[in-house]
Amino acid sequence: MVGNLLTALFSTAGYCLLMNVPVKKIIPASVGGMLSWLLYLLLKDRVQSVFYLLVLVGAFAATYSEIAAKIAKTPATLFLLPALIPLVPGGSAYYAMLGLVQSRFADMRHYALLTGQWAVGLAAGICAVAVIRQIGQYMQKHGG
Amino acid sequence: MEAHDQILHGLLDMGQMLLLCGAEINRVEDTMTRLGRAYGAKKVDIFAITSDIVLTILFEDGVELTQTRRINKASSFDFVKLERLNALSRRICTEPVSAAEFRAELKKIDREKPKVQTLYLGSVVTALSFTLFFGGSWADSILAAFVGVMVCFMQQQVQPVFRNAAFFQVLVGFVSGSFIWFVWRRVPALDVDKISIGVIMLLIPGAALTNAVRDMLVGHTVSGLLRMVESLLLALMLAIGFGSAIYLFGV
Repeated sequence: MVGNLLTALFSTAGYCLLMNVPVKKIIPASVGGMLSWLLYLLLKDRVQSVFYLLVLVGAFAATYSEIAAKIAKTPATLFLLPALIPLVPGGSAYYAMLGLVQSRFADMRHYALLTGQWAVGLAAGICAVAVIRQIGQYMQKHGG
Repeated sequence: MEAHDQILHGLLDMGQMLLLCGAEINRVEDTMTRLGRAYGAKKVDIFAITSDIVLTILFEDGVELTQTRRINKASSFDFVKLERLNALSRRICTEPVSAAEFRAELKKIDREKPKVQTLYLGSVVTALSFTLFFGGSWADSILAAFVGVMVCFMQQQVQPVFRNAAFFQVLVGFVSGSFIWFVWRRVPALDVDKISIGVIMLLIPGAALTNAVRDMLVGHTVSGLLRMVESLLLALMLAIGFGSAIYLFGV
């Protein structure tokens, strides 16, 4: 598992270079990716529903990036996208399209649905955090 | 009047640069609104999608102006630039400078491009680690890293020639797919699928897809849809490229 986590860390670091993340923030950004993947691995057998598991992981990635962004005083996207890298459904999007090209429609449907499930699950988790943050800001402003 | 024009130009430049370096729609609209207020706007209306920005500002003196900006280039993530733009907008909101100075600062930021070495290193590390991540051997991942260099070379040298991003994706998929199968014919101990997925992760816009769904969920349905269709199209084009290579050279 340690080896697997390390490859997740380095995959994220490689992507950080491609996205031109500022040098000093590459390490915290890559650690975010590794932690999201670790959380996924830890909860995989405990949470029955894949969708809610992804919501949880998405929420974790968003929380991590909000906190890291507060500390580093930088936009949260800079940490959020790397934190999602080991989890984004790139592979399944590709396999779905390959199924279309090669007339393997059962594969295509399976992977297309997986792509949707993962993308929507992660995005829902991220949005949940955004909504909670907005409520917090509202309460602060209106003295709630 | 002159100054008003300059302010709108400056805001549109800012919005365009933010979109092109991969900012969320929320940030684009937010930043432009704040800057507009800092330059004395009473009301700022913005509609931004990935290919167009419409901006209307009502100034304190009753002048109301609208300008649109068509964006033709495809966006690619550049977080150094995003951070710079963000810092600039924060600075200007606290102590405004003249519109001309603002535009000069934007031009200065726009001129800086990501270093080529960084992109090559990024391609190598990403292809190598993803092949290992998906269970490939070291031999597989080293070949994937080599294909990563090829991909990056094509992105640097060939992409500027192709105006059509979709067709470029087919070409890259076909060339790297053919190469992987060609090597596999000589060294059958390699795992073609693992190498391919390592390279594909380099080219597939998975992060953009998730981001697009997020845009839709926070209320920017149209922009989210555009970005989603864009990234699915790129995935399809990549599959056509790789699929053709498999069809011609595969088993």
